[in-house]
Amino acid sequence: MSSQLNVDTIVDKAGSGGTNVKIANNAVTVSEGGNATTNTVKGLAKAWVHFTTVSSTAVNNNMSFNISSLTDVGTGNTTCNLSNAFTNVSIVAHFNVGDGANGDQSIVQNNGTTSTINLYCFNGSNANHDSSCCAASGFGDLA
Amino acid sequence: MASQLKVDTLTGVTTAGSIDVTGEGNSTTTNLQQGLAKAFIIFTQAATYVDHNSFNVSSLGDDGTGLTTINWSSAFSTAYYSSTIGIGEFGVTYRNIPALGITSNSSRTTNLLKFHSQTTGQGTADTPDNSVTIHGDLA
Repeated sequence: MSSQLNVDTIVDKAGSGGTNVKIANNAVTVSEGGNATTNTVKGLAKAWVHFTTVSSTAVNNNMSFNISSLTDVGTGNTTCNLSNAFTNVSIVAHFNVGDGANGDQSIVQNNGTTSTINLYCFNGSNANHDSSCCAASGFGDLA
Repeated sequence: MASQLKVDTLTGVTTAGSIDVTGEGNSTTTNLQQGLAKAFIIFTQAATYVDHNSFNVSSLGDDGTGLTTINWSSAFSTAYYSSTIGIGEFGVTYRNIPALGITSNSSRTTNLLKFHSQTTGQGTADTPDNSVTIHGDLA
């Protein structure tokens, strides 16, 4: 038997926040227009990070989620190591850099693992380049 | 003691499609529905298209070299939704394809998005592992 919960705000049992709330992976939410439903867990970003590769490769201001560490592979090349792995190596990943003065561009490489995302930043001359403002996110199913 | 509530569908009381969740800092709330990605896909353009992984995508249409129609399973309430796009293969060949996006505003509707990969010479090229994520309101 299916069930439906009508609620305006979701918080944890203590009533102080939502960080301990768990949602099953098949739960759906009613759409904004009220005419459809969408899978709640599939719609969540499963990883994100804001980091720099200048001087050293590091997360900026603790701004990361589901990232255990960053690996400096080489100039402009960073591997994000995930705390929780995906089920599929085909992670829907996005990567942008904000160092526009160098004409920086970015690209994601699917390197065939469920627990890493490989990122490249390169300048307008197509040479690998470090940037102080890198942002990446990943969508898909967690294991 | 931890508690567990089992439910299949979350519906707002005041507005069916609007539920707030408390933010990580415990001082504000954010809208659950609007924070969810409503569609994503990673696919390869080639003679035979490959949908590696997707959500809320019903089919892909091959519109020619570098041109793809992505059809949504559930429609959006407006054609002006947010699309984040990138390609996912490293190599000199693909570094020369700086522009990926929608063909034009008129080619993005509530039911589909027309994706293209554009080369530096304003031409188009098939690209591998293209990632697209959509945020916006469903109908």
